[in-house]
Amino acid sequence: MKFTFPPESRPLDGYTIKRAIHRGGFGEVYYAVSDSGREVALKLLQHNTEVELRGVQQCLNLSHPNLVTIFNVQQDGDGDHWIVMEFVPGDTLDAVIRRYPQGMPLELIRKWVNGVVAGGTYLHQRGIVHRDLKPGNIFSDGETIKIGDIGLSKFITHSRRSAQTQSVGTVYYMAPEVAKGRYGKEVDVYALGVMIYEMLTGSLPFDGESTGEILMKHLSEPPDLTRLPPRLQRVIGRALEKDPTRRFDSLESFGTAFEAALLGRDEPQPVPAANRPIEVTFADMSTDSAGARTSANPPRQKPADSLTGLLPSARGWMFIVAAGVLAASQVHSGSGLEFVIPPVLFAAGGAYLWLLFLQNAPFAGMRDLASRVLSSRDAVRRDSVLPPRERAKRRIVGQYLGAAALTVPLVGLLTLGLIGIAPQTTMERLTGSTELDLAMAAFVVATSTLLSWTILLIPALYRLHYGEEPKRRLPYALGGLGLGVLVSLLAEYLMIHTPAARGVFERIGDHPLSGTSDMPSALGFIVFTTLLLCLRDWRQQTLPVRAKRFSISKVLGTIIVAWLITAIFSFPQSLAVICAALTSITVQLCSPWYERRRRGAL
Amino acid sequence: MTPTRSPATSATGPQGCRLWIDGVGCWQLWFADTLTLGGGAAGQPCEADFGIQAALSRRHCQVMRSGEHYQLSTTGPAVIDGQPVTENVFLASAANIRLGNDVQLSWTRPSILSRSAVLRICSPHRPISSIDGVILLADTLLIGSGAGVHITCPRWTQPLVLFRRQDQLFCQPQPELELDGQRIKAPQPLTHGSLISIGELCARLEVVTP
Repeated sequence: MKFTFPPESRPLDGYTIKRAIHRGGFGEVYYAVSDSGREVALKLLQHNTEVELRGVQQCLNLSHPNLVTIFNVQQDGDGDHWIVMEFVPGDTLDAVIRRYPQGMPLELIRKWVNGVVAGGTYLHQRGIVHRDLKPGNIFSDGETIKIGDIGLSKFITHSRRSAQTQSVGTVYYMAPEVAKGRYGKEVDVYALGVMIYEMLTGSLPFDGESTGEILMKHLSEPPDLTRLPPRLQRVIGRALEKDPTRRFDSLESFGTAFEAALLGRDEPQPVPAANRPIEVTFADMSTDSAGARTSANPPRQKPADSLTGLLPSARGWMFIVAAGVLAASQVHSGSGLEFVIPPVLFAAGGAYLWLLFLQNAPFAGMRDLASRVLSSRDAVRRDSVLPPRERAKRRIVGQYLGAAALTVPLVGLLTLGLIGIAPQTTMERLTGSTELDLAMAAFVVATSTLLSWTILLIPALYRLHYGEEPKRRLPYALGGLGLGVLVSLLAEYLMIHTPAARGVFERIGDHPLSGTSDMPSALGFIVFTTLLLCLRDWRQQTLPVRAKRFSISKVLGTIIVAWLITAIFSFPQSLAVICAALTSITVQLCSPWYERRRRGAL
Repeated sequence: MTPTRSPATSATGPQGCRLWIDGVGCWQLWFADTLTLGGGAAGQPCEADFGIQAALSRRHCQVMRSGEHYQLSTTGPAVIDGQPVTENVFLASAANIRLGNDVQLSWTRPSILSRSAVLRICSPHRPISSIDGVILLADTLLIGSGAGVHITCPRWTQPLVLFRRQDQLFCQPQPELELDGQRIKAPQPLTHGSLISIGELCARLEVVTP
């Protein structure tokens, strides 16, 4: 959308617009020259006019060297409101941060922080909270730092914590309590903490693909303070506390503590893990009707990954019970589906154990390994060049790649467990003989791993190139096609033996689906892998925003699809079902996932 | 230098013009082969072509274009890349220039495809006129979001190429580019008040006469 007024327009008597500066949340800003030659910034209020006008009126007569001066508020001929402000010709802090992708020099940071603290303290002393402190609103006029956009400022009410139905401000710098409509001056302390973190590291402490994701991180995720110089970790950690009562109570005290830490006037220690900011959930942040914190609901430590999402829903339990009854009846009738029971039971137990292991073991960060590698490789350029959405995209791609790396041990463990629980039954179903066949075990592990890789790498590549998950199943079908060829070569190399398979179709045209030793032919493998990847909606099992991290019903659904394929096209049933089950379990457990409860709350 | 209204058909003039760009700033496009830099005060007559509000001589130094190269000759104290300069010196493709005690300038020729150069103030000093820098326009001017451009416009979706033929400035057509609200299929001359739009952003040309 073009700017409303082209250059040389004179919507406001006495001022000629020369160019547009930017379009913000509240309206358009222009660079203009008054008839007497004074450079000014004109802000046309287009949205939230009442909110901004109220704020501007409070700031009209404020005068401080570290604040952008508001000269006047005028109405044009159409009744629109314009704010006439001081034009600051220098760089914004945002531009300076981009210039130093690895972090700004400390002396430069000190200059900016001192300016913001002085200007912000002046506002706070007059009962005004800025509410939208961000690098784009901080300017450098030569050696003087100026805070702009103070029109968003909000007068602190007598209760200090007035409810606000409307969220204003910028999400990257937004304090957690803003989600509850609370705007004490601690929100400015928090915003300055985020800005200093960004100045020091070149990147944001809380970033994400969507507004909801970023807000969730503000609410629940502790900042990674290890990226900061040790002497500054404690100060920044306190400014970024989730609980506003645990932050510095003023910008001035924060500025003093920062200055002291920077100059080494005290001896702060790196923040130990146990003292890292405590995560606060929405429930923790509940307030009583008067807006005061509920003392009976103190902050509590939570694991990085919650178990929420593991437990099946009521519908899921019904599905499991129904599937169990069906399986039992099949066992009773001896229809050949009874071998489904051990893998499913094993899958359920194994899945829970695996997740517990992931959450509590030192390997908790393994899934993010590739993400971290990508991050460090891109550290020089990413924040200066890549927009936040692009950065978030890369992180998710990294998580997918990390997940692919995790599949190998998981598939190996599951297969080992399966064979360990019922070695003879499993081997008999797979090979037709009760003897342990290591080649078959290796084949199951390799096939399940390759299937998992394909399912995880397809969305990763799509994210990388198109910025979103694939919408159609064609990529999966193509992946399955290539995988079929690979698996058939592997089967031939390992010389595996399978029991005879019977399906509705035993050949396609002149080409049989089974080869020698009753082993599937290359076509048999291709048909099975292609159909398995194409017919099952794997996106529902790998999407980071899927309903639950692990769903046993999805495993059962996958098993049924595999069984149906083998019933129609000749393929060893046991092999198909076991590989499908292992793949479904593995991709669900390994792929990235964001907890739904927090998403929903946002 | 003051902007004047020129007839729509006139050339942009030897002194060049100003380009006001949304979201970026204002740039002086300098056509002459010599650019004088000097100190001055806002609202006062200035002898220099590029006047800076600083404690400099009125004609502190000159940048001269000679074929493919640029030279700097100075009458006042000047330091280039840490080396004091007392006589004519050739300017490389990038240089940091200090005039007087504290006026810092950056000099760049960002594209090997163009002889045009960019001169802008890095220290807190301000030019006398409301500009962000000077483009010594030899042949072409590249504007866009990528590397190797004279004026960086991060939000522009397409590059803008202006080129000089004698003292007239032309605009190269681009898929989304509109000149005065019209799509163009061939290079068109720019005149005073020409409005170049790419997407939601636009740039306006303003002819300057001495």
